[in-house]
Amino acid sequence: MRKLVAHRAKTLLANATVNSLLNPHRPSPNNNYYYYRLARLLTSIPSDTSMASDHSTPPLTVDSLNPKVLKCEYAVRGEIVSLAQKLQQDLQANPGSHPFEEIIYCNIGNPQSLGQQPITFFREVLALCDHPSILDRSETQGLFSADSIERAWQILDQIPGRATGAYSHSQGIKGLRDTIAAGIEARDGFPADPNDIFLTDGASPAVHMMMQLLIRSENDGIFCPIPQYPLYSASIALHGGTLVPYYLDEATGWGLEISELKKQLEAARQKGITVRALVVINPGNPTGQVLAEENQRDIVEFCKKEGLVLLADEVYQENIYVPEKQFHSFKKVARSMGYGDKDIPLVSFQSVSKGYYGECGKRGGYMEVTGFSPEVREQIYKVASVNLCSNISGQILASLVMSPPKVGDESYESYSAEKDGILQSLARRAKTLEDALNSLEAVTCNKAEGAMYLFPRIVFPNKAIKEAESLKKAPDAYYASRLLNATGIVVVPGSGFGQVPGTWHFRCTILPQEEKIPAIVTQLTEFHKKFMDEFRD
Amino acid sequence: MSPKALDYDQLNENVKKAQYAVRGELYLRASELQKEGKKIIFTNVGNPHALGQKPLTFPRQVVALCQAPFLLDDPNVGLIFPADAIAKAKLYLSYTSGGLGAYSDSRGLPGIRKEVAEFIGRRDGYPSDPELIYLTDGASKGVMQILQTVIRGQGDGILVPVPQYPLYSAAISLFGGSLVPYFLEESANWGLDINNLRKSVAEARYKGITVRAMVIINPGNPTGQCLSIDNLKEILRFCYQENLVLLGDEVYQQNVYQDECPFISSRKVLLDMGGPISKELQLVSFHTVSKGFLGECGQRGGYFEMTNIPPESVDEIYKVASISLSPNVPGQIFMGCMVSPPQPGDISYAQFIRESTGILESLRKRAHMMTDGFNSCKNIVCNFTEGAMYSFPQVKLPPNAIEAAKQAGKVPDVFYCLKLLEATGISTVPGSGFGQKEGVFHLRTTILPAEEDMPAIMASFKKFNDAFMDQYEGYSGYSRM
Repeated sequence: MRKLVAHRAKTLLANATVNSLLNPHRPSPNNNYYYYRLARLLTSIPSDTSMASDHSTPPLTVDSLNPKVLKCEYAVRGEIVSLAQKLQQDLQANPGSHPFEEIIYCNIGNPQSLGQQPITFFREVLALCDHPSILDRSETQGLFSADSIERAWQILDQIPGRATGAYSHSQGIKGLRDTIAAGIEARDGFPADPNDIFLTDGASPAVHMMMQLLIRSENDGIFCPIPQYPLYSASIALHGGTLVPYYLDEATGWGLEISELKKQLEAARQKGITVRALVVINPGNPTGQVLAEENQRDIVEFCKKEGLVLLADEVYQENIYVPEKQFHSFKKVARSMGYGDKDIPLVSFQSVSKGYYGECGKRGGYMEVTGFSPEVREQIYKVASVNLCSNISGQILASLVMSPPKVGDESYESYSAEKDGILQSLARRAKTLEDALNSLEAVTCNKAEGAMYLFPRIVFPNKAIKEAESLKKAPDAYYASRLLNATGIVVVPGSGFGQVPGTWHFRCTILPQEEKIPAIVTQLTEFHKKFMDEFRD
Repeated sequence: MSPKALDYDQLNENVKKAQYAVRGELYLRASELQKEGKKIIFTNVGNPHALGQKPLTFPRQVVALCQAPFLLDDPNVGLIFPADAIAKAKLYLSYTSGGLGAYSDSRGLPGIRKEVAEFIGRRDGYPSDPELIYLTDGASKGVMQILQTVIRGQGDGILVPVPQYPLYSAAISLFGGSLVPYFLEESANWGLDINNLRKSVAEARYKGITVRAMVIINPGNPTGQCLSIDNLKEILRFCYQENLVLLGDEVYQQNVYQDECPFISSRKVLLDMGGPISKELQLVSFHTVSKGFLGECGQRGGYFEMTNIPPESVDEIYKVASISLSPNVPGQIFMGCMVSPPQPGDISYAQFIRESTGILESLRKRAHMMTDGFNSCKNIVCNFTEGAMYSFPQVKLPPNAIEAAKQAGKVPDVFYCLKLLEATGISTVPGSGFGQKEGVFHLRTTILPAEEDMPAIMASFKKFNDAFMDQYEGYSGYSRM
């Protein structure tokens, strides 16, 4: 790892120069650093595909890779994380080598890596499904709750031969899709069809599938919120499309204005781009806002009118921290407006990684695909079938998330206590960190109504901006690396998500364990004060 | 009315062009018939557990304990889990930061990758670098990632064996590249003739295609042949001369049913060759938990190992991996259990040996039963399944059958396989799904149905085939006049 980082550091300097040649008006975005700036140089040079084979350049050199791969970027696991890992190794080899005891990863929505406990009932069922032969043993009753045993039997009966190690139907096990459809109906009050559900290894592969389906060339545009979760920008780049931005309004709590959508749509069309779909992340990432229902209706109308597919990323649907807001799925909103399956194409994404379950490592999720013709559905099925199926354990977990213990079940009380404990703690942490950030000089932070992140804005003094520029870094990347080196706290610079040019942010998760939060606040506050003292104009 | 974004004719053409027969027309028809109550024997996909093969006990014990770590604190856990499974679960949990529910490193848990490297080192006699081993959600995802990295556009060609496992053709289509076929020699036991390769490359170049990579599937799918060391050397030299990256699909390396040609990894052969080629030939090798004797298809556990790939390219591959955050952690645990199985002296060792050799011996028997069963039909020639999990008999179809197929609007082998399905419930994949020479027809079936069911299945097949031939071969009875 060190070798890799050192190597990258060397090329970092070399490539930063190249990039500043190409983009004289933009400071080198080393915040996304990982990616060689060679990419910018190379994508501007047409590749000569009719070149005869040349012994001297082996096939997989960086200048002969798929340019779409070179172009895409994903900051969440970018340069700042490599630096953090290096510092972590330093600490292990040499405790006391840095002014902090541990690295605190606030860069990624990975709750269980920071101590959040899984929901016991879910893990009981999964363990039993992983090793069904123990269900025949009497000792098992003593180790597992009765309802988890019952649920495991129920699930196993839905799997042909009870074979959890077999490839399933490419959309996922039918019985599990039935459960999920029932869960969607219970949530929304409108029916869901199990044949509309595609279970995937996390929500991300489902997003990729839709991008692949929708993007024919770089003339196809996908509307994305700015700031956005960089899966979208990366996926659009990988599939050769164009990201059409719509800016969320920081001044109104990251509000989504239809007027902004209209303006951007018109601009894109002027440039000859066919805008195919609209991505909405609700609750928002990194921004944390929960859309008001009226706003959602406007969005549905807009998509209908403009012929756009609505791609609704709803993975944070169970992370809402304010009593005045509620989650409404876009499907529910559309149906309650009277739009049926034939009226509007809509894809909803859900995941087992977030909520109160936080099961990121399981890679479980699904998309519910409605409003598409059978021929198009066949194509989606076909693409899903090339990978055969998603992992069975993740499929089972998705069905548990959409159909958890109910009142009266043996595990209901403990399940409920675990769930409420986690959600209430998340709400407290969101508030504490939001208040702490707002108390910092030159920092404003919108409330995290939902999701798992805070996205504060820093107005950097000119001195800081110049210092960053001299180091060929964006100011928010510079701040993030200074923060890391001083405190061990890892955040992601705002440029990784997109922001209004000339504004700077960083994304910080609310996930460190509650008992660690006071120390984090103290360290952050102290660091920020010193930073401002150093650079105040 | 203006076209809607998801109207059929507005879709990405690459998606529409891609085909994947393994779950295509035959499978869909079989599923329909199954819903109607017909008993179907699914031999269309290498899915051992679906046909009754049992999972190995030890990995399931380890994963169950990792899923529910609170069990490890329970004083009674030893009543149903052996001590070595408990120890292994604790070890694997210590590899994670937060257990199975946390995203791991995007390349997979370092501890597991180290075990994979050690496995490769023991297998090949050369050390392997864990930093160059990436775990993936099944080998298929790894293949797709690498192909996506290599294919820039239609002008890029990938050499793929014919017949091939249609993941390759589908992926090349999806990424907008060109498939450059090289034909395997059926009469030479599906051997690889280097002249066929040269010819294919020359034809592709003449059309203006830059050939970038070569896929070998060893042991082969659907063909089952195991490549000899000489063959592998030829291939490696060829790739080196022609500047191709070699993609070695070695997922069936533990499924070998003859002793004359054991599995040797491409990497071992390459390193044994020494010299510049061993340091320069670019190679990516793929493996999985889905096959072998584990057969854990549903877990989606796989890896790829990179050899002689430049660091900057590795970084790009890492970047793409990071977008999907991490491979599923339970699948990684299965991978660990596969590459570091119980050792002599371990409590679970005897059971592990019994279960794994039982499965492999049975597969060997079934490979023979199926090959012999097909060869007992006079219009069928079937190469022996040297490895992998499939039988790929050549079915000689009479002109009347071909005509009838045409009338029905079907490719002849699809026509035959549909009739086979409707008559017997045996669900196969027509050879056209894998590629074959013009006018030559095959079907692919797996050797996975339970041993005790094999005789009845082969008898049922023969009955259907002979009746089919009677129906279409000349006019039954008339030809004797």
